[in-house]
Amino acid sequence: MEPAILIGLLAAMLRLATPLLLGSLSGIWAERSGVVNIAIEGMMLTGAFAGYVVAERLLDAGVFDGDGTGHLWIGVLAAVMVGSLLGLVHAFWTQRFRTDQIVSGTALNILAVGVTAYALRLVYDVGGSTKLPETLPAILTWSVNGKDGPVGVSFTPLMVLAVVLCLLTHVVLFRTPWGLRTQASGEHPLTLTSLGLSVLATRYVNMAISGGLAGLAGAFLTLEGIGQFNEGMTSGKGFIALAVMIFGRWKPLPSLAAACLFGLADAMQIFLQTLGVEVPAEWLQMLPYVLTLVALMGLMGRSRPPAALGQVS
Amino acid sequence: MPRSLPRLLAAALACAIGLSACKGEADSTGTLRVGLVTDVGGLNDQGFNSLAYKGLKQAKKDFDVKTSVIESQKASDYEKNLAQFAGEKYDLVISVGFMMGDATRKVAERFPDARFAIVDFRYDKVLPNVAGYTFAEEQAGFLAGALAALTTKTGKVGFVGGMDVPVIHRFKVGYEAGVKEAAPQVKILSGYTGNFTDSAKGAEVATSQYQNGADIVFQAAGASGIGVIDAAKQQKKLAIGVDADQSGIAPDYVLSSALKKVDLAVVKAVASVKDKSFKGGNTKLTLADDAVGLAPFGKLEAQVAPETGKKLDDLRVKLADGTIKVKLDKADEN
Repeated sequence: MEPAILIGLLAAMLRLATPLLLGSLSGIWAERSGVVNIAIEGMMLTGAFAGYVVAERLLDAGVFDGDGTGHLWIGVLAAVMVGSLLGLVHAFWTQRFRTDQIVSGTALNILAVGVTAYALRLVYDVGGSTKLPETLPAILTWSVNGKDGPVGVSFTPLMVLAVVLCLLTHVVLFRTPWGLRTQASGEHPLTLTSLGLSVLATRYVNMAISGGLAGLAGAFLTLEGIGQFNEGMTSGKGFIALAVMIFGRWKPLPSLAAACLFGLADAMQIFLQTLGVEVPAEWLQMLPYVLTLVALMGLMGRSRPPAALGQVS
Repeated sequence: MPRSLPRLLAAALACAIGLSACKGEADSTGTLRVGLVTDVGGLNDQGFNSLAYKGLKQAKKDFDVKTSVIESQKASDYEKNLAQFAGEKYDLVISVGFMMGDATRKVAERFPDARFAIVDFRYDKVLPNVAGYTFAEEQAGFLAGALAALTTKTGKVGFVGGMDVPVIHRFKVGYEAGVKEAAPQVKILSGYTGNFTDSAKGAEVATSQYQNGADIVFQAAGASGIGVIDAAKQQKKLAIGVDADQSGIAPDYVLSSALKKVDLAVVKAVASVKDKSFKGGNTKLTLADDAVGLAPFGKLEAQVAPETGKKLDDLRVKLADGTIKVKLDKADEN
């Protein structure tokens, strides 16, 4: 295989894996502290929307000119904040009112779809949102000349940030008091209580982090991806992120590998379609999912969720 | 803490969702009421659904009818949403999209007195109260294919579809026929995103085609196709839009769009109810009806050779009068 093709696949893998990695980290922070978070999808979608709208409105109002990236970064911040807010709502419902965690998560997912669609109409009426002139530019681009012109792999800011956050999650979770506290909250909350520490406070903080990470994944899609929001654009990425998290055994570094594997499988199926392989597109599109199923079968019995997951203190 | 608070919150939430889903106008004056249900693409898809809405607004102005819209959030809601309008005795219920074919049939059988129109679906077994409007997408695709084949510099052009359903397949078959007619040596790379919402996936499929030598990619992928246009911009190549004139999304990179005037079907359906000529059956709207076609080149006019323009005009005439027919499979007719 010529290098340009490999570079192209690698670049596609990184772009496809980034939202999954951020989503799986979101899941790790929530579930390690004992809260089931199936609302990653909804938080991602809301983050994508909030990030886009804030950036676009700031630009439209002339607060920033289109040459800089200030409006985009404020958009990213808005996406993280909105995600965190939803994370706190989830914590509030499930911890304060002891709502079933799956029900609360499902409600948030449905709410996100409705609210973003409605708000999009409020802001832009019908006819669609406008496209941002630029998205967050690459920090580093490495390109080679293929037979059909240059092919490059770009490392964009949020992509790099996702990897940094993954390493940070690893360090915090396994090497700091807060990490131990988080793990205790997820494995055996009574330990925390007996030490006079608040399980509730731990879970609130972790849910805010979890939501923020999901919001960041959304910002990646709009502010670093296509520069535009469309309804339902997350298309299940939040749920795939959960599979990535389980595949990664609730650990950040294996989740990074799992996200890359999933991204690569997706990039491969797209590449095979382009090559014109005589296999129906639907079969090729199954590739990442089949791979996940197979991998999960191999992991059976070895992937264990936190013991107190889904329980209320 | 009172136990009823979560229930109260839940109720408030349900109301909010209900309100966001339906902006209806009650009626007691006897004015005709028309309800439109979108598929999951939503009204802001800058193509198919937004055109249907444009048609509805047009009909509201032209025929003085009252209109309501429900945007379907998931496929399992289609029946419920259609039944809501039918149950409220709307004079016409319009379903937008191939995906709603089965749901519309079921609801139409449940409410034999209500009238339905559906865009993008035809019924082999005609229902007396459903008018199905389909389009000759193959003709629009044909012109897009001819344009791409005559404009490409690399000898490779791309096609990105949403899902391999008949509507999209008609675009593809037409596109391939158009390329073959105009420049048989041009190669076509094609791929599907697997849905109509994931714009990031649309961008990836198109990027893969651009990197493998295509310099023009035609998308028929709903909202996921917005990503195709973004990929064209990133790769500094060209895209051809679909349904509506999509040059506004990226004027420097959208060569043209394969038009499919969904708004026309909506206006026609409302008109038939207004003048009491409504009847169940299938109508196919074609180039001869000015219902499909190619959008003007806009900013990229200079990229298109003058003889290409002439050739396209020639093909347009031949398609309209039936000299050129795009061959469709039986399965694609639906």
